[in-house]
Amino acid sequence: MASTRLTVLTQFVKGRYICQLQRLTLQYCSKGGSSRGLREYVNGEVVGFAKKNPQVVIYVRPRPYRHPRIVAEFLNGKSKVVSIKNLSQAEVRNKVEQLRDASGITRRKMKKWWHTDSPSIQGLWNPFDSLPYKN
Amino acid sequence: KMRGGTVDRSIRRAKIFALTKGFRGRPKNCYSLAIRAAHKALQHAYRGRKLKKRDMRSLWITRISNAAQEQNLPYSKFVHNMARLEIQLNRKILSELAIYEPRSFQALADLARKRQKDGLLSAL
Repeated sequence: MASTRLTVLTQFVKGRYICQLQRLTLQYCSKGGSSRGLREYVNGEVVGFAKKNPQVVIYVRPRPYRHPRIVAEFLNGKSKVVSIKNLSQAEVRNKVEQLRDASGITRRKMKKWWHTDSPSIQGLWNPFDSLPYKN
Repeated sequence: KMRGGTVDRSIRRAKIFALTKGFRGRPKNCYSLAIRAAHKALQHAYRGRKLKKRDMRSLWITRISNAAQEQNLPYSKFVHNMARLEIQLNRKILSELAIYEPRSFQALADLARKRQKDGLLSAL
């Protein structure tokens, strides 16, 4: 439902902005080549990022013999797994900042597949509103 | 290979093949089969144009009947009293009202019920 998804965004408009990212888990492999960018990021920039964004909890977990990934968990309970396999340090930084700016809403097209010039004024019929006949 | 074939033949055939576009199997590509398939398709289309009008009307009637039953009014009484009240709404519009403007439909059902009662009273 588009309306329930938009309510999360309206929270920002009403008051102050709240970062929707709750937790970041950076999973790297200490030996694998695909993890190189993430390892450089972890050794270099992640502490600075954590200091600048105290609202986010950051875990760094070694995950041997597997490709690196970031697991992001948001305030609305949704989690997102991003593969950062073979990305450079700069690209990893971009991904992390993207997640920090994201809301947890699942991405879906909000297009309506119908159009009418004369929409229903009284509301579409539905079985739950069926007006009980009164004598 | 066309031996002494005229241009007219390919033009004539192209008209048939234009009708058999999208058909399954050889009828869309082989001329002798395509003629038969095309003519049958045209017959089906002729019949379908007449059937469509019947089918739509019966769909509208089903919908109106269900909407009127929600108002505890049988379709026959609803339609009969619409006619007695000289309300010129046809079944297509009545079915659309039932879907998109249910309150209006309820108002019509109330009118029909009232006319039905008045009709009974005047007969007494």
